[in-house]
Amino acid sequence: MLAYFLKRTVLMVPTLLLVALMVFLLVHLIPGDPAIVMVGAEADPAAIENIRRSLGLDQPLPIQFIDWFGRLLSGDFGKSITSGIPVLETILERFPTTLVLTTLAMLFSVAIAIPSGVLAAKFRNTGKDYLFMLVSLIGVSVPGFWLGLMGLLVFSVQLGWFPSSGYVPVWQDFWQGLNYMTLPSITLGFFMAAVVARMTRSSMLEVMRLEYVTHARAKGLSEWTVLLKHALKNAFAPTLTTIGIQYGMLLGGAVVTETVFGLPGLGRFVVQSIYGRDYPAVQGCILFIALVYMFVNLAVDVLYKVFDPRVKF
Amino acid sequence: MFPVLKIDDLQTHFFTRTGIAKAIDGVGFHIDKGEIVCVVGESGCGKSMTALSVLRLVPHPGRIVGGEIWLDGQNLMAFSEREMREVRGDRVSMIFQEPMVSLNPAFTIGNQLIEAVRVHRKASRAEAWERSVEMLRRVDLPSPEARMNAYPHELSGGMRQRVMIAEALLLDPVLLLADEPTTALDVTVQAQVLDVMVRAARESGTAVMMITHNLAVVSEIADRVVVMYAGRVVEQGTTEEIFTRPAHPYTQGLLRAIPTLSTAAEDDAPRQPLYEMGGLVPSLTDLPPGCAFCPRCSAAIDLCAAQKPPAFPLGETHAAACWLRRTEG
Amino acid sequence: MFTRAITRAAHGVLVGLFLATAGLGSAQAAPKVGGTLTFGLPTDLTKLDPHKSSAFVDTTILMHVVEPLVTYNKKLEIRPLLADSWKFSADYTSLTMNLAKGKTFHNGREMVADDVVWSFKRLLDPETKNPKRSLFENIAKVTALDAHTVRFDLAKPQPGFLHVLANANPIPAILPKETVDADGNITKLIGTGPFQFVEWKPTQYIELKRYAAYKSPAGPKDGLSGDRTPYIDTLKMVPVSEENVAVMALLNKEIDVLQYFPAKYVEKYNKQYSKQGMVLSEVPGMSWYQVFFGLNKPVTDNPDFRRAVAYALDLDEITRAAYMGHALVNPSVIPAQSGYYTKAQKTWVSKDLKKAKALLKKAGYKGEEVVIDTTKNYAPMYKQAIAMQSQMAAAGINAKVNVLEWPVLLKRLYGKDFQMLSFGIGPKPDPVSAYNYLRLSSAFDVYPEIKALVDKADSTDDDALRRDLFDKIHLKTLDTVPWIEFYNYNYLNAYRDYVKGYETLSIGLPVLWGVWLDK
Ligand SMILES: Nc1ncnc2c1ncn2[C@@H]1O[C@H](COP(=O)(O)OP(=O)(O)OP(=O)(O)O)[C@@H](O)[C@H]1O
Ligand SMILES: [Mg+2]
Repeated sequence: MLAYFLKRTVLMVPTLLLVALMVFLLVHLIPGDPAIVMVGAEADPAAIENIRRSLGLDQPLPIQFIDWFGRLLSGDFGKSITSGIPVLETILERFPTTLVLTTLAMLFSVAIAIPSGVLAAKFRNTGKDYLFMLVSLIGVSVPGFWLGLMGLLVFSVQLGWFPSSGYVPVWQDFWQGLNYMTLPSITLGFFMAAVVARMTRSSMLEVMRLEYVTHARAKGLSEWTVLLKHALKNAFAPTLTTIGIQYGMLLGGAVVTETVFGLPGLGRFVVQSIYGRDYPAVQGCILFIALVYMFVNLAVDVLYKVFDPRVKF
Repeated sequence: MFPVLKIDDLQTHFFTRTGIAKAIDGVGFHIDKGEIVCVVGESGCGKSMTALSVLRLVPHPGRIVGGEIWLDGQNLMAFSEREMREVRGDRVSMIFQEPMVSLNPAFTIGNQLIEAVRVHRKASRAEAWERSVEMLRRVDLPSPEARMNAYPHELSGGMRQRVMIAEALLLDPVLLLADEPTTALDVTVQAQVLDVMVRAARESGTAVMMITHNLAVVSEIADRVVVMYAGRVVEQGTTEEIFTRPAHPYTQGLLRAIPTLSTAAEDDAPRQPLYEMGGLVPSLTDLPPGCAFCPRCSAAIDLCAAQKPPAFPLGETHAAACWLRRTEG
Repeated sequence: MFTRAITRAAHGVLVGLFLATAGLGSAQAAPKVGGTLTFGLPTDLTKLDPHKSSAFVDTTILMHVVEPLVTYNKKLEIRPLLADSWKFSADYTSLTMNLAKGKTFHNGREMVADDVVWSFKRLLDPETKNPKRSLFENIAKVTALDAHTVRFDLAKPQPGFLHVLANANPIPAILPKETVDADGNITKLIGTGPFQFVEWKPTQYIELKRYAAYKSPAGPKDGLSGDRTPYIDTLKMVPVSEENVAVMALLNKEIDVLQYFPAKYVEKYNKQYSKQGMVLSEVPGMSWYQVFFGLNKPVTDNPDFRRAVAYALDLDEITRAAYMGHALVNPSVIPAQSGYYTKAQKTWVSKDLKKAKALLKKAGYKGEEVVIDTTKNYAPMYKQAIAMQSQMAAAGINAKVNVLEWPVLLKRLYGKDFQMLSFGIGPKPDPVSAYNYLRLSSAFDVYPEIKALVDKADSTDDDALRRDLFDKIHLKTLDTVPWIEFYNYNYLNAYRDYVKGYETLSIGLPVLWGVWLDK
């Protein structure tokens, strides 16, 4: 187990190297120039050239890569072009918000999705199931942006339950922070809930056709025991993979929610950085997200064994 | 004295998109206490559905639409779902064909055995553990204590089926439904497993309804035989009656196709069709008005195509549903 | 159709003027000191250091804490702030300024000439890395003549140099040495402004408090000049980036003032919000939008083709498409508020498809595809491009809209790599700086006579002469069409009705001194 964990961690290194190279190329090959974005449309070309030189952007690409990569190896992600602040500092400052947001969203969605997926499977092809399928279809197709605004309109403006603007981190003031996080995590979790619930339903249906479920019934177990013990534990393994993938996607993809609710998360920082062609910031963030993603994957794989003991490490 | 099981005019139909499949269309037979009755017939003739009907676990979209099922003189059709749950696994248990997929891969053997005990008996985990280990020992599973903590995938097919047998006989049921319990196993272990099952059943006085393709097995263990075709019982009788005086042309065909026991073992025969008869089994959604076997029957007369034959008694224990065996009165 | 567009656009302006006056009226009724005002910003502060900043939003915040030597009044004329009076040398190569006496920094120390010298040294230091440093490059030397007198020596004559000192973004702020820490960074900003810096929690808020010892310049409040007395005790400025959410925050009274009220909500405001204690002010602004022609590219290098486009376009309709009527049609680079906005500046061709087609024929246009580059990052740039495309199609021009990402559009602009480029820019109060910005279109290379006129205007401070020169330039562009100017959009600000004396300037800056709460 520990050996497996270590092996996987070591295997991440070549992957990360590859990601680093690809990210660097990708970021530098998209058109646009950080110096120009920085000064806007109001500086003369000489000023822009000065900035490019001071940022080292006048160097050939391979030199820039070696320079960046060399410092990366010693843990230095470089400084943001726009703010001058070390990239890693900003990442570590912003990532916790995204982590809290996505984790709450995940917990919320799993809490909703698993029971409703199980119920839908139990009542398959009945009115209840069709209703579920409809709601979950809405869930996966409604744009998060719209959902967030509607949530704010109802729960913030009409009912006054939550603030519509501002932000306090949960580690500064837990309850107040939670107050700011509730609506965003529900909005974000709604999409994920729909995806996970559909996955739960379909893998439940898959499992419930299997002989060991009939066997469990033939033992005289109640339908609920059959569903929640025998079927669910097996159906949960593929669902877990879905949750892992979704969660990984949310880490970098919570931008819309972060934007609507004004949360200072990593997703928004990435987008701002891409927008400003802030090379070191984009590279650092994507590398960081890739790393987190790999660890999430590893966690999913380790957890998978709990639900499917047949898996061998 | 009631028979352990008495099935009367059972009808189980599947309501599919393409029509109603009459998987079981008027089956009737009984099993006495301690008796081993084998049910034989071609694939798809309704053997498994008969067993599942007894437990009232016919899968969707199937439904029992008619007939009666009596267990020890009680009509199971009148039972509530709750009462049925008390029957399942306690008074009637079932062994499935594929030991690979009939044990839950996500739980240990011990977990599944203990669960089987505790769902019906007030027993502590320790007592249930004891009882399970004892039962595993009775089915000759090596080092049963250690196996309790193993997951199904860590056991061989034969071992798994022993576990299934142990679980099925854990609570001394009056009836064991064994649906091709050895078909999926290696030929070399088939005989052992079968032997263990029969011995254990005899010890606890459990009646067995054994579904099989293997007529050699039938001749060895069965007290009586029920032959099914297209959802109906075409002939039943003692093993001796069926093997020496088969009355229905279908039974005769089956017996003609039987290989000797020795070749069966060598050829890994149970995985191949044992008998080959001309023609196809009619579609269950579109059964002919007369005898379902008629299209394949070389001895058919006009009446066969027009009307379904009832079971004509040929002796005290022997009966065949064939117009050729028509007896007056 | 045509007349209705004008009325709508004009209506917006009238409402704005009316509201601005109303705001002023209540400001004159005895202001109350105290309270907290929460101000909704479009984005967070990017840099607390005025010398390093180059973002407009920073000015919005920092102008309440720090001050330049001179500033603008409402008419965008230069007025004293930290400098009381000044005098140019005859050749405009040196400027001597007398500093206001008794101005103190927030740490209590008096502001003196040495602080001015130190501040400009820091602003001009390449190590400070201000992206807009080149604006100040003409300053050769700053000398303290005595405690309250400084002299600027310029590399080249620059009659418009006071505009450089009054620059809004970045603010050439006079700061005390003490505001800088050992590493040369500013974490606790100290200035001379009406408000004192308290704290900045990045992404959450910036808090300022009233500087009780503030000494305001004399005279009534006028733009950024005159009376600058602060009344509000605590100013909390919070970023609310999403415009829909910002409106909700204002409805919820989570913020008291919203700097950018989305135009699409104006109807909702008229029907509903106006009855819920919300006040909307619409102020004609000086930001401007246009299309550039690539004078070095096939098809668009032909003046007849460009003239044809001018005849094909209906500026009113384009303005309406881009800003829903909350903008003023303006074919000139000079904003309507400017003293240089003459009758000549208002001249432009009116839509005439016959003439457009005749000119196309003359240009030998044969249906070649003409690409309009634009971006969706700024919605009006995109919307005006779409409007142009359909109007050009009506004249028989095969135009294609090419949507690019903002950084890519900028790169095209700088590289002069476009046929037509739909664009917009922030306020340029001085026409010379506006024309200098338009050099991006390569008009100066192709039409050196335009460059000569601009240079001449840059070298004089004779208003009458300049006015005449600007008129000439405008008429020249009417003939050569290196660009087509469309409109200046209005600033829509919304606030709660208990906020008194609030106003926005035509250069887009909200003024929070002189504002008080009637709660
Ligand atoms: N899920 C289902 N949907 C529709 N029809 C079904 C379904 N399951 C079973 N049937 C019908 O029931 C009939 C009997 O099935 P059953 O499983 O009892 O056959 P069997 O005799 O056990 O065959 P085998 O020897 O292959 O196990 C099948 O021929 C089929 O038509
Ligand atoms: Mg079967």
